[in-house]
Amino acid sequence: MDLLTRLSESLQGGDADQVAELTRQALAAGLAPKPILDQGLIAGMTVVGDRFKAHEIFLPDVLLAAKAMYAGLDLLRPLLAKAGVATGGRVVIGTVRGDLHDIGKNLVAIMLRGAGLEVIDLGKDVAPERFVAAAQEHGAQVIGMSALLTTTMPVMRQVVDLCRERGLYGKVKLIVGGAPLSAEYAREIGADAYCFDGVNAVDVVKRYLGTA
Amino acid sequence: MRALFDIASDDTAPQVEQVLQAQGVPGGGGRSRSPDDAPRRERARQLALQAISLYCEQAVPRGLFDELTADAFEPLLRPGEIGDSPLRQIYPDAGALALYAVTVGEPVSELIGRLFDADDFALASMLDTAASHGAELAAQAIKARWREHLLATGRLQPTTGIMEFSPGYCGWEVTAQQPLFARLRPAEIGIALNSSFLMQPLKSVSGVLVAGDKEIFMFDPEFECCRGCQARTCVDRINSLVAESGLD
Repeated sequence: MDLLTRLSESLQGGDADQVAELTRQALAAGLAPKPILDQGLIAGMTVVGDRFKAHEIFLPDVLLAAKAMYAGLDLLRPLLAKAGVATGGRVVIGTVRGDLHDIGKNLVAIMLRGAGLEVIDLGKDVAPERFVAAAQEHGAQVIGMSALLTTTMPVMRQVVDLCRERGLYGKVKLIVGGAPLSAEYAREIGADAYCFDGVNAVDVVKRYLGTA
Repeated sequence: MRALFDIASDDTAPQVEQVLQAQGVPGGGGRSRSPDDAPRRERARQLALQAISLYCEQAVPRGLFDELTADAFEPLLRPGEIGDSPLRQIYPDAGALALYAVTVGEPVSELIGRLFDADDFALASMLDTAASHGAELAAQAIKARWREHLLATGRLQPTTGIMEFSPGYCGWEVTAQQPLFARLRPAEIGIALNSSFLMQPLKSVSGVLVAGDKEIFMFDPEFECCRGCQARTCVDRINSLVAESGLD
């Protein structure tokens, strides 16, 4: 079994120490960081996402795999930056103003990073202006908004409206998620998609970026 | 009567199966079809046990209840209410009412944040689930204290049931949190309300406890508010109520 396959399988097993060790070995063997990322880490996370969608593994398995992914990614990130390797895409994400629930948003951010995307996490209680300004500043292709309260859902519409005002609407994809939301609500406020979990968010974002 | 309580964290510790079920792990109702489930189930179980242990170390559960009359409750039900609701139908027939609030405190939420920051996502997520259940169990503990008080004051009959309702559920608009907080003053146990009617610490529960003949709680979930409800926890709650004895 080659090194990158072992790396992918260690990641799928959620073995962070082993993933870090194999990533070091791959670099020591002279492999470039980009194939280690693509064929080792991202390949492993893709399998994890597929198995989760097929109900073959559980949420804790996905999150342990994500931790393992980060163990490898931490070693690769400075090398990828130094080599000028572009990320798979850029997503600005946050929990909307007035809402302090961030577990769901964190899980989505973890999965997006696991898919090789750059995630600018604005945290929680994020004002519409901050979403839009961050998307402009970082040149993001996607804005992801999370809300767990019916009282904070309307803030998502404010972000959509602000994107219209600033000429970003249609250029930046707007995705929403959270327990009280639905695809119908996303359509109603003019968002591009409703994502029901992190794995689904990865699929949706990849589709928008043309990398699915 | 108004009463504040400290609750032992162990008394609000969720069962490991509850946590696993909420995480979608089989044994707890998940849907995995893989033949190699067992080792991953065991790994998840160990994580859940660790999360529950951390919860018991970090949680500082506190709660209070404050009795009030139906007339005093009416203004708390009204804000923003749209149409009829189960609570509007039930509370006028109640024998006793009490507002309540509980929290498991801020330290457990802070630990969840630190675990996420340390990339310990699975444990963070498991602890979040454990803390959510802990807050619900703290609410049950306050309900039990009120039940004891009703018994001590001769207001608990064999046919009496107690059911809890919270703003944001069953047609009781979440905006009712504001008048509820103004009357109950849960700041005394460390709970604040933000402008979105969100409680801080996050792992807190508030609402009204309704005591009355069990028959008053029997309703068909066919109210306007029931249409968009995916939880349908009312069915289990009514079934539990039927099963329990008023004088236990």
